[in-house]
Amino acid sequence: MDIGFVLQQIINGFSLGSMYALIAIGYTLVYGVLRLINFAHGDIMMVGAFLTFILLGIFTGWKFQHINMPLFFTAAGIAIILTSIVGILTYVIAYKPLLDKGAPKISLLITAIGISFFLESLFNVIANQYLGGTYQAFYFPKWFSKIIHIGDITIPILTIIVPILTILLLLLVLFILYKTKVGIAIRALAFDISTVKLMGANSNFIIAFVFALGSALAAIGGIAYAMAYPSIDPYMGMLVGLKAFAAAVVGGIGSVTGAVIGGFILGFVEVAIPGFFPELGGWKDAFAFILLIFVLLFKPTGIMGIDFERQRF
Amino acid sequence: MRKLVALSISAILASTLMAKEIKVGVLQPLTGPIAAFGQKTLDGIKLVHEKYNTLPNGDKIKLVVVDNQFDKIQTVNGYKRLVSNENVVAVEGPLASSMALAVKRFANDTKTPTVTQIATNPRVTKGTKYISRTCFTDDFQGTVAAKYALKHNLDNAVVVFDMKQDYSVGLAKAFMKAYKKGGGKILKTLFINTGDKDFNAQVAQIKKLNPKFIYTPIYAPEEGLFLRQLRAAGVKAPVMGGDGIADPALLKKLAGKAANGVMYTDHFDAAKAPTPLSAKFIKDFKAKYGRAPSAFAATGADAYLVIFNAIKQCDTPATSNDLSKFKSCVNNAIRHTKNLEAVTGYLTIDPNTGNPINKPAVIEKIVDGKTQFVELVKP
Repeated sequence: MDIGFVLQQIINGFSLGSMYALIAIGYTLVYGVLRLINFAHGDIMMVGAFLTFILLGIFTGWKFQHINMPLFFTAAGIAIILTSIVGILTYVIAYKPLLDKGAPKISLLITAIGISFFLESLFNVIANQYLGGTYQAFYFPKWFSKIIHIGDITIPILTIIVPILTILLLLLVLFILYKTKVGIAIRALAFDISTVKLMGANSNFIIAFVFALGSALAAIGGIAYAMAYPSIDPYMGMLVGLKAFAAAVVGGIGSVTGAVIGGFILGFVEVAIPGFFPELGGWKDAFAFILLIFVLLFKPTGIMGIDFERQRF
Repeated sequence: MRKLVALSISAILASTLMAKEIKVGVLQPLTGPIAAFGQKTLDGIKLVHEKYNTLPNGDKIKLVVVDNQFDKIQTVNGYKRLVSNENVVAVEGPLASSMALAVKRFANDTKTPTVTQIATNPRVTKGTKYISRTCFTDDFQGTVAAKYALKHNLDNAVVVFDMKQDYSVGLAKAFMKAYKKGGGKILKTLFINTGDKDFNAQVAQIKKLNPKFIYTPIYAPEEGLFLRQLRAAGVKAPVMGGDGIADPALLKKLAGKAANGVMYTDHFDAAKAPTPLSAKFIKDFKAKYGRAPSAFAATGADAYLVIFNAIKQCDTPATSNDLSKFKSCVNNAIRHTKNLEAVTGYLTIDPNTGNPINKPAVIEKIVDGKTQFVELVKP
């Protein structure tokens, strides 16, 4: 086993882990504020990838030729904004009425699963009716499929861009949480919703903002995932969503930094298992979740474990 | 109470006066991951149903279409609904082997004649009198692939299969058995899971083993990305799959240029019509849908024709009490289908096994983004 091979696996792990991390942040933010595991979050990631695909289709007259950087980033940008709106809508339509009526947390969880199925089915109908099939190839500028050769190692350029982007976005989220007024409000909301309301803060706006932020990050994760594995389908968010959830739990749900660390760890396990033990390649999903159980056995609150009575994010 | 009596009397009157409607259930994946296969199948069924829907006594056949979403629970529920609520005489489908195996018990319990048009796993028809099929089995399909490889001196191979699918596991086994018997060497079997997108681990293994031949009895969505990653890694060995990857459009979409050269065994090629009815079917299909029928459309039409032919031979029941007798007659007639002119050839079903006798396979290859006929293999 040479050093180049190991290095390559590490880079791959980082890249896959960053996509999980981007989605895991959304899980963690929503959980921190509402104590809700938003199981529809994985599908939000699918919505981001699909909307980018649809917008690119509209821009290129469904030919998907000559996709250059400005075109791609315009499509991705609009898709990210639209995905945030979808995120806000799920909150306003599905969760808020339940919260207002004081429904138990378990009802919210079931609603989240319902939203998840709804989004999957909706995009399945769209894909089959208007796009010509469940599975679609994802197109993006050729530059992103560039491969850098350093000695024996081949590094797809995407595997460098995505982790850097993830770190930058993490810093941005931390900045928002700790240095802005909305951030302070989010952290206050995580402590006690009723008190924040009594203080005159608009809790609905803040929660909607949390959903928008989480959904935007999920959309970015989804687009990155679709570029790495250029085939999208309405069910792509299911397993990725579950793994991102596992990443959030491993990292310590409620902690943004933890979510990113959890994402990286999960990415490494998934790459390392088939990389170093190729025979076990087909079991990589199983190992990802075994890791989850293992971590929870020793550290029930996750790596950046948060005691919710004292600390937030 | 009086209302109820009046209603039931009028219902009985209505049913005796009008030409009766005989229901045939169609259980196919119209949404979900392999929706494209189900849709194509339904196109074929609808086309032959338009032409062959009236029995000699004037009774009409009505199709009751249910979507099983390529999901076992939906399949079983859909099947039960067709049999208990819709009172269908026979069911066409379900498409995939896993789904056909899921309804096996219910077909037996309710004694409902079920004809699957493309579930190729040998276990589907084993030990039941009520499931028949109109396609070849994986034992044959695997043998065809193995013989083709050995004929071209591709005498060592890697097999990549999907361990979540009965179809894939069965076909991989059949291939390996025939391949080893013919003197080929299996270097390694690798497995994947339905829905996987990253095959780099498997590809790295294949690259190291450097096999002469790669057999991939998986489904098209996985095959597309697998091919892309395989060719990107510089592996040049020929790749062959079963009818599960027989979706050239999707392969091309997902794999791009990497789809070139991939081969698969299939049931039918629209360029080679085996019967007059088949030629007519291809012509009508092109006129109606603006494209040539795929093997899915052809096999879908086949299974319908078998059911239609069987119903024609039985007396329509006067009351619903006779339904079970009618069903058993239909089932018997399906099992004794002999030399029936259909779309993929002349069909004869073995009454004991429920499998067709002497059903040939075609080998197809994707060349420059187009499907090309390679050869016809007879058992």
